[in-house]
Amino acid sequence: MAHEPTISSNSAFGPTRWTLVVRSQGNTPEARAALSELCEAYYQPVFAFLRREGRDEEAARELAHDFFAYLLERGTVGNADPLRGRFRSYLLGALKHYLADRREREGRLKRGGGLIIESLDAPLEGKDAQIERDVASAADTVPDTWFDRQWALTVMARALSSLEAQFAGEERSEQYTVLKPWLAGDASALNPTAAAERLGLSESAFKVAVHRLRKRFRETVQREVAQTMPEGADLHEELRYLVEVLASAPR
Amino acid sequence: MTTQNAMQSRCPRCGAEVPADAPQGLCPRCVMAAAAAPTGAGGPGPTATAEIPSLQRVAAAFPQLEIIELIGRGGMGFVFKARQPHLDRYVALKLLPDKLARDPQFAERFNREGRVLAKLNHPNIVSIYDFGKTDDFYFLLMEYVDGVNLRQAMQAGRFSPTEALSIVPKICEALQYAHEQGILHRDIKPENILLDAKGRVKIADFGIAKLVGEERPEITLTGTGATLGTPHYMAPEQLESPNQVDHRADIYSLGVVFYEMLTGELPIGRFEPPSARTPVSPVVDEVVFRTLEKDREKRYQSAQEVKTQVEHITDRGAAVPPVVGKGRHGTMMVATTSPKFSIKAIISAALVGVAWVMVGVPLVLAFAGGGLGFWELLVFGVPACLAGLTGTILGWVALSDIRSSGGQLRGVPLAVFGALACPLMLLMVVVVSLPYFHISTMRPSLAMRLVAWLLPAGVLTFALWAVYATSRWAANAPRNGRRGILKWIFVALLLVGVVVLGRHPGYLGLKTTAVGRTKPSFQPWERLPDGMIKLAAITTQPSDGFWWLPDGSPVDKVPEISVKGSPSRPQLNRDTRTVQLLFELRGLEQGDAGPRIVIPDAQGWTGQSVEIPAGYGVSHYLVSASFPFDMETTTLYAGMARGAWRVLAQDSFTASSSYSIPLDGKIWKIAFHGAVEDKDGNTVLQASYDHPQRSEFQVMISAALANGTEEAGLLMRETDGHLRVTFPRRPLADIHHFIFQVRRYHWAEFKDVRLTPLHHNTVGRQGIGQQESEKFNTGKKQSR
Repeated sequence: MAHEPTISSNSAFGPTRWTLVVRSQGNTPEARAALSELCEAYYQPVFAFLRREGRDEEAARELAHDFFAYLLERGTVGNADPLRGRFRSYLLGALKHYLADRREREGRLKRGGGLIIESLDAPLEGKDAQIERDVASAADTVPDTWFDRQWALTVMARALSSLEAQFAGEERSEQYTVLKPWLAGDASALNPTAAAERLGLSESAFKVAVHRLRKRFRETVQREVAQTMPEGADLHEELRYLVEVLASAPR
Repeated sequence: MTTQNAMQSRCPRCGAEVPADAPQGLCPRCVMAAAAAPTGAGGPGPTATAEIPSLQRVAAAFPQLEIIELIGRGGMGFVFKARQPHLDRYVALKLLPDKLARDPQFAERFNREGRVLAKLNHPNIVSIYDFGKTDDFYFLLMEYVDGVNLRQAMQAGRFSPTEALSIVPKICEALQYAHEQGILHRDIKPENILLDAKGRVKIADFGIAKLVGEERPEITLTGTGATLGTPHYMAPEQLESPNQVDHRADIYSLGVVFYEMLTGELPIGRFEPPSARTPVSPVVDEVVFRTLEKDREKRYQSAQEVKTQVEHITDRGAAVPPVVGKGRHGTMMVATTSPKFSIKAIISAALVGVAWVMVGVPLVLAFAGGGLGFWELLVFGVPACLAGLTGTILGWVALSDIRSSGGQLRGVPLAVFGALACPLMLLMVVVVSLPYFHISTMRPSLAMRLVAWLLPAGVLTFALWAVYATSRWAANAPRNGRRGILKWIFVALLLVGVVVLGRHPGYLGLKTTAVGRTKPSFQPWERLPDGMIKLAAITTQPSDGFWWLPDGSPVDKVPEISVKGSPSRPQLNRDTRTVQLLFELRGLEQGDAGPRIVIPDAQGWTGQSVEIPAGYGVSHYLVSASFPFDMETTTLYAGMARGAWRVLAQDSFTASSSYSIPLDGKIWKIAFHGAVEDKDGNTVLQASYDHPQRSEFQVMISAALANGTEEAGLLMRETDGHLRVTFPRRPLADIHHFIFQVRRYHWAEFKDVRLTPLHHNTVGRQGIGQQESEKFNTGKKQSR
């Protein structure tokens, strides 16, 4: 039985979801289905972004749902931005657009948006404080890298659950649990002997198992990332960027 | 806040705090960084920019193979995992880069070299099955190794010195073999050394470097920063004057790999000796340095030499410093820690052996000669126990020592014997003797026999498992997934044995008489009113006149009885004692029948009705019963059949027939033979019957006559379960049908009846003088 070669080039997978969307600009039923799957997968970064802006959970959830509904309904957002580039960049751009539109429509000030001084009089205690806060937070917008970090964490989480499910399907959940810490790399703090014993493997067999787990994880991550990239994009560059974003201090 | 901090852990690799939003608790930085890095399956080399052939293309080019997947991008081509269905084996298919195919001289070189390489046949060299050219590809068909290469193994974790020292000799063997064939590898590096899951070492790509003509591999960096195709493994002469290398270049490369395995680093510039970075003795340093000599004349001149030196180290246990003395190279004095026998194991086994012998000697004497005297017990028993105890403890200590010695101590079998022999033997003796002791003294039921077999079988299984498990524990063997089946068999057997014993504690002999026997107890269904039957007196010799009461006290008034028929003889032999039991019956009603006597403990008894002269108002019954000689008390029952008769079956019984009739929860099984009229005009009917409590019933067959009356049959003979009934001078024609009926005996129980009187003296007895008692004592029969 010939399997697909397990190499990380886009062409080997056939069109990825985002590729499909871009090609047809979201106009075919397949493209719409693909887009909806992508939105479902990357709900978390959007939600986190909205929370980060200062909303509570309920408000953020509602807004996220509205955004996605809008996106999926229209296929494009606002000025009919063509669907292109990476899904990650696209989604963030679309989200920002959506928020700006909404703010304009509702005619209210929100953090990170425009600032209108309501009165030139000596401001009252409470109001003064509020305005000052607004000013302060205007400079403190949620950076794009924060979104990207959430994105990277989502990719990681999805790859891990996919791997976990694979192992569970092969009835090797225990192996997954024991080997998982080695995904971070080799470390003196990890005890391979105890782990090997726990799984009933010899030391060499254990090393082989670790290597295979890492390889599978790598492939899963690459597949996951590939789903959000357009044709001909450099997977490795995206991966490297995500690693960079994770490596820089959070917040 | 504190709880939050307590929950946060640190990444084992980078030491940073794992953030709260990290998926599955893993450090995102490290995990994703690892995912972005390449697998280290070997550098792309000239294939860095080459197109990977698609599976379809490859499959089309090799119709006789099943192409499964791409498993590596070697420096010299692409490697696919494939399967030869014809031979049902996996193979590795290496496709050489396209650009080579364009080189006209390559074909000739390829064929020449290919043939030479295919001759390499060694367990530590990846075999070449075939090579050639299809339309599109130059290919090599090789042995498929299911495992990792040394690079991947090193990335998965540092090699222990022992592991490294075990791998190197195997590489040497391969190299030596190839060198003797005149073939050099030229590209020994961790990527080319394969380890399969069983730990076998195989060297791949022998001579490919020369074949492909890659004398100077490119040094390239990929975007992720890994270096590929490094020259660090190449001997100096290989870099300087590549046309003049010989086999010693391979030895240098081996040295680099050796160093890297031990220290994790490449020996570049001024590098530290391995012993500075890993716990090995300086002997290892010497060997490594010599393989890494820049001047090849100073290196080991053959791979065999390297192998010998390394094995020398291993034999002397070089994983453990310190060095005792320093000598010339190769004559190093090291504190020896080679595997030796555990002294404790030897002593323990010896002690236990001695203990067994000391227990065996008196046993043999006991069987052969007389019994087991106290003296013998002391002389042999006490030292045996001491020796056994000491030996057992020492055995466990030895096992623990061996286990923690990590292979330095030997003697597991001896230690296991010492540790387990005594406890297991004791266990066996205890478990086996209980039921067997019981079984031998009485007729065992099926369940008891089962228990008697199950318990020893369970203990035996347990013993086997204990030996097995202890050996594996001491040898520190990895636990395999297969659960100890033996252990579960033992547990199952033991549980069954326990359950059975629990339901029938009597099997353990807890309820016994003085001799330790119990028969299934007699359970009377109905009881006689008190006083109807009385056990008046007991004697051994009715004519002697010496009687006692059931409680052992002498009788006030000796009954004068006349014994009908021949008097029964007391049987005073060594094993049994016969007593006569005199029952008094009073207040019986008309129609009561009996008595019937049941003595569970007696070996036999007979009944004889006696006539007591009128005036007493009672009737008497004398029973003679035999008991085991040393039995002192017994329990017995006397019953009268009374109450209503209960009809079980009625029929003309002209033909043979059988019936199963339930009564009070138990089944009567009755079989009739056909009724016949004999020549004298009597009607005879025979029946056999069975019932679990047959002895508790009186059985009768009566005939219902044609004129409407009922006539009882005459019992001609009744043996246990068989009736023969006659209706005298009653022709068969007169009888309409027969009636089989039963009624219960009602019982009186006599508990703890003494079979010997409490006093042999004759105090308080009437009519008996010294003379009589003397006669009694001598056992002479006195006739009246």
